[in-house]
Amino acid sequence: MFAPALALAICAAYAASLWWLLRRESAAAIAGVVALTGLALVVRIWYTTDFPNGLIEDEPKMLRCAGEAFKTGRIYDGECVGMPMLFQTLFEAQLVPIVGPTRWAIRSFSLVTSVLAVPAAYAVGRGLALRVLPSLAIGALVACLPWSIFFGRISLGGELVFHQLLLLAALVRLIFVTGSWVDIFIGAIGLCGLLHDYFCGRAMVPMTLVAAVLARGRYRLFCVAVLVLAIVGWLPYVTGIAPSATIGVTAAGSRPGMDTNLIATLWASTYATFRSLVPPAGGRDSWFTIRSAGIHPPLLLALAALGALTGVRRGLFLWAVFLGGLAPSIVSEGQFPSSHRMLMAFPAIAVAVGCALNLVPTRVLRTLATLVVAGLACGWGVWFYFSPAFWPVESLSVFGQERTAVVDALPLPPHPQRLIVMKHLGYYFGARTLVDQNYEVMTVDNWVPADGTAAIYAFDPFAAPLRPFYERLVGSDRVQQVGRAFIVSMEAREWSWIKRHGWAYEARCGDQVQRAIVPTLYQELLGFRTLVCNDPITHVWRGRWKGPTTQLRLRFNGTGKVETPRGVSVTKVGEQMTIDFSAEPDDELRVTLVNSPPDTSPLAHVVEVTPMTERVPFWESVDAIVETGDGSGVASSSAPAPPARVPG
Amino acid sequence: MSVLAPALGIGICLVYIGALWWLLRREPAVAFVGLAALCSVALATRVWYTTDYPSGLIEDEPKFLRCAGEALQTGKIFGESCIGIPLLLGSVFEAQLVPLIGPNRWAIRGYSLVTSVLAVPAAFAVGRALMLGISPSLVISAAVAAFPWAIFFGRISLGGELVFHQLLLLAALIRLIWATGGWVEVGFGSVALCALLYDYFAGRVMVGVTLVALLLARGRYRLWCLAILGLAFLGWLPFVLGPQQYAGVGFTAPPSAAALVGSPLQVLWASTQASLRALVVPAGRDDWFTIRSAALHAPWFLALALLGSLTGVRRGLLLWAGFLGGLAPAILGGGMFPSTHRMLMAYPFIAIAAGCAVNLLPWRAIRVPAALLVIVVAIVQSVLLYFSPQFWPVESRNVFDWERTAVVDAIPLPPHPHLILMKHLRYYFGPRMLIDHDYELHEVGNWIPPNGVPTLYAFDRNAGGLRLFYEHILGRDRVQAFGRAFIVTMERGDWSWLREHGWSYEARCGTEVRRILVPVLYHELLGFDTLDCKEPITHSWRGRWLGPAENLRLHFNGVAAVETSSGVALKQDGSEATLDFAVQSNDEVHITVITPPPDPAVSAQVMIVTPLGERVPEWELVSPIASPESG
Repeated sequence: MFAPALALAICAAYAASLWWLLRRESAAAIAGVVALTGLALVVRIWYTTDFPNGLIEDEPKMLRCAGEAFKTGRIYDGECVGMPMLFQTLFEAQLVPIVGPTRWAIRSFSLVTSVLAVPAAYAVGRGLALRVLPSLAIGALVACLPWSIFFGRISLGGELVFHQLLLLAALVRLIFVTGSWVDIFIGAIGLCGLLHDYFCGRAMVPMTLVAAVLARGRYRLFCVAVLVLAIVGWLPYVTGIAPSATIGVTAAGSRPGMDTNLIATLWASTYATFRSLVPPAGGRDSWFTIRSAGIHPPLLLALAALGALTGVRRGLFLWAVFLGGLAPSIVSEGQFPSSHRMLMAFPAIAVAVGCALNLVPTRVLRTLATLVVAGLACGWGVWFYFSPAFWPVESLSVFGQERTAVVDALPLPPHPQRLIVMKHLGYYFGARTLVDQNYEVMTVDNWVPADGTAAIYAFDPFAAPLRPFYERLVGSDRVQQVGRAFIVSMEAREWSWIKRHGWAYEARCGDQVQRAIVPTLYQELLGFRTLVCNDPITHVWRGRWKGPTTQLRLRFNGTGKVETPRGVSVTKVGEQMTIDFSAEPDDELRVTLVNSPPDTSPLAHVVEVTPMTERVPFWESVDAIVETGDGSGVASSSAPAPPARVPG
Repeated sequence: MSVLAPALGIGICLVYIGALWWLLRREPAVAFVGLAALCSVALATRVWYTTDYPSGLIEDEPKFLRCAGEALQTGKIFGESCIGIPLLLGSVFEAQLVPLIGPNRWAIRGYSLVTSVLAVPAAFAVGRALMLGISPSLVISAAVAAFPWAIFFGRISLGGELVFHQLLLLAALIRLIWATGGWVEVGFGSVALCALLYDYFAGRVMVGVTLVALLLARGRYRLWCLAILGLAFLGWLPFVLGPQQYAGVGFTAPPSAAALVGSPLQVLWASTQASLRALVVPAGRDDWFTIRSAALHAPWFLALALLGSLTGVRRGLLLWAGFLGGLAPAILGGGMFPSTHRMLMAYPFIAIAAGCAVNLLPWRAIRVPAALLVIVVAIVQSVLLYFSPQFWPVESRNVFDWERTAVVDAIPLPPHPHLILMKHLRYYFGPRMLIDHDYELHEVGNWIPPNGVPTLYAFDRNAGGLRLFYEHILGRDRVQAFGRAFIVTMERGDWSWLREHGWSYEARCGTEVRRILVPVLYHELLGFDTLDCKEPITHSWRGRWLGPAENLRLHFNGVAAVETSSGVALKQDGSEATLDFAVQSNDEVHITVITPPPDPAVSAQVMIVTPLGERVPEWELVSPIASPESG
């Protein structure tokens, strides 16, 4: 019961914090905040399954880990992607029984908190003694700038911004003496939330000390109390198995070259980081970060620079938040700056813009200026985010669209069919394993379903060339294409006839030999389930070519060899190698591949080469040559004939 | 294109803004908080899973946009569209968006979506005009924001604007009935009624509601109600005065009137029962602009509405008149199942009546929490229902063609490679024709692309069997699938090698004979489009079977004959008929299908029959044999 109770308590703390921060606002202001919150929600669900159009590999991976941590009660320190798991356990894993192991379990917490960040942003403006309209402008920017939309639509994003803004709202109220002891708790909740999250949030720890310096009297103590309470809340993680507890505090993961040429390295890195704030995009495309996410219109940055000069303490605090927010990107490794690591800097820009708008003297002008700035910035943000310019192919490839879609297309349990999932889909299917045990990883052992057993095969994009092979073999109605990935649904019936054609496959490791008939020589890291090996593994495929004279190509990793009775005997060694050869009717073909241990799954494909394309040979094109006792081979197989033809 | 359409568009938008400002100008800020929240809910439920629920366009939607666009180009915006609806709103609020956002779903549905969100404050205004408190009025808004019908009709065209205009009209009429309105109400009320007259026919029932308002009002307010009617009809004149076929719909006897002759009461009662039943069980019709579940209401909400309709004589009369009037098009409209689209004008009265019921609660301390509870429960229940599979059985999903929508969406905007489009996609491609002229309809003459010209082929789902055929000869990278529909991209190159295999095809009409080579015998309404023929057309295909012995199946419409050199000689006629036959390696195959004029296109496909299904024979399995007469 601890996890549900903690989740409820955190939700209650969010609600109470926002109520406290906004309790004295006018109804008109609240109407504005509600409208902006609604706008934020809309831009986070517009084209719900696109922009981005799939999950990042780490997202389902984290959900699986969180689900397992939840089951074992290790809600603070279950790790599999090197991060604290508290929020994933409380707000992702606990959603699985309600919404399933879906993108909604994974991303809803970030989405909802990124929407709640709008009133929190407004509260920061009000905490800085800004008027209503400039504060609403801050809320609008936090609702609609590209970074806010992007990080509100993936996990590990929205909650960081929300927690940061809660912390900042509390700190500015303490600095400018409008807060009270209640703000200590609001700030502590925000900071503790940041400590339990992605590492960039730790950049906000020093802000409490900056605030303590800038505050006066007993408020300095209040700022320190925020820090102390947050660290107390972090203790359950730090005192557990927490290998990443020191990230941000020690030099681990810092930029290479900092020890030898600190100034030059920092300068280059800082320049690259600042550069990524303006177009054209200079950020990184990687897990949780895409190159364009940090982009702001230059005029908005200029306005923010102006806003950061509107008061000594205000300016110092905003610059501290901004530079502190950029620090994780500046000091950490990587060729290009990560917009995810810079995330804590972005709200400071929005707040500074609000400060600049607050300078406008009369109400009419201020209203006009706010409408123009917020309207243009929001319009640009939404337009840019949903444009192809924001999503170059390198950014799109951060998200596994086809893997996400193919796993989404699999039926949820209880399903009568056995799911047989290609191992490449492992991370994406991982979250499903929390609720679904009726599955196997695909191997040569289960490549052909047992007779009388219904099975659904889920193939990864890497197996795309196999789709036409399957459509021809079992009919298009049994094959569902999902981009390059695909699903093959095979009802309960006799399927052993599939072994009538194909290749005889043998894997030999020392004295161990395992054999099977595979329907085609297209093994994308596919081997025997039980073969464990510490010696080099020899894979051999033998088949009799039944098609017309055809140009074939073997693609492989390892030491590959092709032999045909017409004198072809070619050996090559390497990664992603090819051997081209010709097959004539009734040729006995022998393909050998030697791989190093311990992975027993070979990567080998034989495809037909035509002037227009490469394609997997038809199933009927090859008859397996089964090894006989004396080492020679005989073509054929004991498999039954395919089902009788439909009467003509 | 004149300035009339843009001016009308701006003018109507100004009326919307002005009317909402006028209706809400005295509301306290707390009401705006509630309205902001409910508008957010409305907008969010209309864009959540933007391209699904429904997952494609209805055939009439792109068709309507094309007609509206053509009307805009020719200045005939007051005419009647190709789907029978007046063109005005389509020309002003759909076609004018095409140059801005393209001929896409947003041009088609943007107007309905936006107005369905604006219906939320309009609904609130109706409640306030009925002297309801803020929270009961927000109950009405919540229903208009998030009830399944509101979401559904806000996500397709010809929906949201009907509700918005209806609510603006009602707000005006109610303020006149209860003597709180004036000439301003006459102004926007008449614009709203006029817009209803220019929309889908269901909106015309509001003419009757205006007459009821006239009866319920007192003194000079009756005249003002009459003025609304007069001004609206004045605005409708440019349409009515034209040669319109459907101007009388709703004002004359419906086509189903003949069914009433024998036992009118029995028929009406059965029809009324069916319409009322559709409010509680998914018993509506799945057809253009209507799905079976769209009218569903929670029974507790209907009970609340029933109670609310009894909270005053004039109020009750107005609500019942509106509700029954709203149902009338479905009751009188004919059809086995009631159309939820025709019932559309009835739903807002249910919401208003429920608001009246909540208003009965005497103390604010009880009324506000009760209203909040109703709002939250109603929204959650409705949203969960709408986005659930039970709301979308396959029959309802079939109303929308996601494959045709998706394949047309995937065709790049001009300039693009030369496009050859299967004629089945014409309606979905229709709006694109407003800005794109670099296309041809697919026929046998352009089946093989010219050398040196990059070409895109867009195939309909009916040609789904051809996808594998194309993937086999051209590779997967040139074929992009959208369900069963697909696009084949053929770059600039020498494609004459495609004539190496395939069938010799000949179409004979009297003495006129045309011949060509086709890569595969898969004609889905495909022929020589320019063959103008008044006699039966004989289509024949000749080829040599190069594959192993196979069982083949000919699918066809017409009179078919199959002959092979190994002795097969079969003949059959029918529609969607099949003829099974066997071929041996090296057989000469001659297939003939005779079709009636005037359509020069033929439906005939030869498939290999396998135990697990049928498939199009691979390209290499047939080589063409010239007709003996061709020399």
